[in-house]
Amino acid sequence: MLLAVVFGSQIINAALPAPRSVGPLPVAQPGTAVPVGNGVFVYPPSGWVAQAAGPAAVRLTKGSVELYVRTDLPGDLTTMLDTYVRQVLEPAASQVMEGQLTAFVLLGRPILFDAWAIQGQLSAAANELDRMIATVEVR
Amino acid sequence: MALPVPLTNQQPGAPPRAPTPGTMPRWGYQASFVQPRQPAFWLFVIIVAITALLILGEQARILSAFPVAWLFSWLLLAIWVVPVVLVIYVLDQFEREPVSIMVAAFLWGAVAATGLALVTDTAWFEILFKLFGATFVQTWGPALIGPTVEETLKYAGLVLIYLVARSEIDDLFDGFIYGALIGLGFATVENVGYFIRPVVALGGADQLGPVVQLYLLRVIFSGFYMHVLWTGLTGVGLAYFVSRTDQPRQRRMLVAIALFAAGVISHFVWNSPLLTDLLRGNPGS
Repeated sequence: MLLAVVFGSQIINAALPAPRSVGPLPVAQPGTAVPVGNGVFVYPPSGWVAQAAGPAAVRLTKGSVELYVRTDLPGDLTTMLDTYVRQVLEPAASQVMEGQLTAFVLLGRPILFDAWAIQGQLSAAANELDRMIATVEVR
Repeated sequence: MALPVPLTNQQPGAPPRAPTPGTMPRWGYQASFVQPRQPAFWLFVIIVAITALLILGEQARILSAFPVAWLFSWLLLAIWVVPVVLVIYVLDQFEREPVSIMVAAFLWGAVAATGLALVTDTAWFEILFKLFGATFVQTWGPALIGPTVEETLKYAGLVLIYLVARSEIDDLFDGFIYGALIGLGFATVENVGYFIRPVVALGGADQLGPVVQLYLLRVIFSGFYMHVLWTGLTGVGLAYFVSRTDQPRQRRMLVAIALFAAGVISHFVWNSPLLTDLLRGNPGS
């Protein structure tokens, strides 16, 4: 019974592929958790649309603002940020976009928030972005 | 508390029959939980030892990040746990349960069940997310995963305790006591995690206020309803199955399943969005 419940869940979870696109799905209830992966959950305020973006990544959008939350990056905080900037941000850098990158380790789990929008649009969502970062949860 | 086994299976008007010796509670005899010859004992020890590493690691991380909130949480929980254990111990007037088994029950709930739930709940959340998407998980994840996974893990501890010390679950109240203690252990460690969440959300700016608020909600106002009662119910079911051998096996199985379901359903109702809607005065939404 124990084996079935504990190891069965791990096997099924590993066997199931991450959905390529399960949405966009409306975040129906503000204040409820969206699982990112690796036991990390974010709480998007009203109006954000959640979409799986990989086994341990979620894409949240509201209007022209996009937020990627990732928990799948390797290494310590410095390595994680360096890797992400070099491999993801620099190749996609554009002068018409502005972004905000936040990374930290919470209860042993590295978490990265990458938000961007068309220039001038990001500040409108700054409070909500800050709230999502502040309320991220590790279970 | 061991109540005499009722004389069941009697036809109306039939003369009373003496209970068979095998169904009589063995009052005055106390088994120890430490039984190295029992494979179930070693299985229990191994699972608790492995999951202890997980739980201690989590607690150490919380302690290093929010020491005041962590200490305050444990202090408040100790104020609740000690009297509850004493009440359970005092209520058990006819046959006090062995302390070693009571400690084992609490340990299973606090360490093994919570440790296993930590990894299993997370996996099931991700499975539901992959299958049904974020909205479904947000709405129904806690109601579906918490009761089924956690009640099963806690029940496994009851079964192991029975396998180690069969003679100590010889009436229904024994099952309630061990189940309630497992639930109490589970609630204690789980509550530390719940108390810390809003502290984390506030960046540690207030390490006392959120802890007190959640203590009032989850312990003072509903502490007896939650895990203590849920696992107490499933424990009564197990005790009925193993002790009421004067009843037909099918009936005992049915009662055990029904009481397990009662524990799961009670937990489901607590976690369900339906309860939230009802409390907001918005039933059926």
